Amino acid sequence: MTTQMKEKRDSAPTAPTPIVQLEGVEQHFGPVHALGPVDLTIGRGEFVSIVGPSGCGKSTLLEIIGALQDPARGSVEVDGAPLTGPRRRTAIVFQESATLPWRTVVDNVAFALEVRGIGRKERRERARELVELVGLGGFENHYPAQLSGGMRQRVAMARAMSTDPDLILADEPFGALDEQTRMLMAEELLRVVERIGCGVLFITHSIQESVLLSDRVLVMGRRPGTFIDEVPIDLPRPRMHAALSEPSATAAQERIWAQIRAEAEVAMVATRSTP
Amino acid sequence: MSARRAGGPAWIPPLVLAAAIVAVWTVTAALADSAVYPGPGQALESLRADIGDTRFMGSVADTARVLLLSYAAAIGVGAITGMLLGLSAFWSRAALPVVYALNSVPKIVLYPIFLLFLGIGDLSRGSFAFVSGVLPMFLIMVEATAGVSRLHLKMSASLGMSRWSLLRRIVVPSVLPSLASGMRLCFGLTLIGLLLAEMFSGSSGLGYELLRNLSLARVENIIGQVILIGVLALVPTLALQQLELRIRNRYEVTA
Repeated sequence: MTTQMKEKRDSAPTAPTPIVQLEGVEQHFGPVHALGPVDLTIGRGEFVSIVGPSGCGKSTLLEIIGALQDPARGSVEVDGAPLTGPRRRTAIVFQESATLPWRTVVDNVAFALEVRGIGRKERRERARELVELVGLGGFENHYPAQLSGGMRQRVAMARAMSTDPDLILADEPFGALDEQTRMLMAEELLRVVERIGCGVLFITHSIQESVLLSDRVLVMGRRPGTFIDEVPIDLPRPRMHAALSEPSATAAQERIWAQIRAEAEVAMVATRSTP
Repeated sequence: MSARRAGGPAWIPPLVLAAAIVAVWTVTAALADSAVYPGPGQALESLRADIGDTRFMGSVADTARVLLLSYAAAIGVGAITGMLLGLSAFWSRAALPVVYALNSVPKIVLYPIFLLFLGIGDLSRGSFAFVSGVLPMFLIMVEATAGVSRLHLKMSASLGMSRWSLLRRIVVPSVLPSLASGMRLCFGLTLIGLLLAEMFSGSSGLGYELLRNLSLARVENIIGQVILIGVLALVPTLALQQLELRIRNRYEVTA
């Protein structure tokens, strides 16, 4: 992990191609200017979080990088190449209900591999390993309805891992979970991501979560979302929840909260006056 | 759920209620002692006589045959066209209001048109029954397909799934619970359509037998037939209910 951290710090133009590079990306929905312009670089193996008020365009940005929508302007490069469609090695983790209720845990995890035409035996074998990795051993043949929200999210995480990703895009993956489960899942995600060493773009409402997980936290202002601050998080890895009480971590949380608060207050008034 | 099961097996309460209804019927019929209000004994007696009659059994077989064909066609056509239309946001928006309007017209006012074009016979009766069932089935499936979880669709898009793969792996499993409800609902509607058609233009069939007994003032036969139709409808309905329950348990999105 230390080498990755180092890589990130001297991400000069000469460094290896970043996994994500955005320049001047904007999105418009009809007359609504939803996002940008935004510049963003994510290094290989770097964990970047975006926090910001509701409706600021965080999810839009993630969907643009995931090729789920095309930007109105700007260039998007992933792994050094312009983005033309969904990439094989980009994995997206959605909210918990993205598990398929009619498939067992192991078949949910194997879903991405199945879509890519991997044979039944091979994909199930791989899926079983991943189920084990995310701590769901013994639940292979359960259906999502038989699992808790946190366990369902582990299933989604395992599915994301299944395609050997070099980039994971997570859109408030723990948003529907209770506070304790959230923290446990965050630690779990760190463990798994550190193990496969991929770049992560993580969108969250939780400032704590962003500080605990990230190498860098980007604060997005209200619509049209642009980045108003960038907060490096210099905590040693592997991190556990206790790291949040270190002075540098609390300082980072204060700094992020101060920015968000100002933005969110203005955004709240703005939404009230324009229904 | 457990509280509801506390009284023993689930089939006991409805059976108790049914027995109570029969008891009330018996007592009131005996008290009324009227020619147009036969008791269960008389009704069953005349039903037994009817069942012994080959002409009557021919009618039952006719109804069953036409029902089966029109029901199967209504389910198949309604489900497949509904799903295909539901996949296209544009065509859903275009067609739904029209079909809803059409569906809200009492179907029986369309029946003369069926007679005019298809003549009196199994074809017009079966077609009318088919239309009675296919419209609701179609509407249910359009709505179900349009309502497939956006999150699941996004996930599929992120995996670059082909249209066929999406249909097979996401859309079909997602709409199965609605398909099962639709099958249960449309069975009743198709049966009503068929019985109505038989009443108006039958030379055979259970609807025809009902009206024939009316003109002959054989009330106990009518009641007997009502019982028969009830039983004939009940068995498939219960089976379809079971099917629906199973499918819902497995396929329904429980977020």
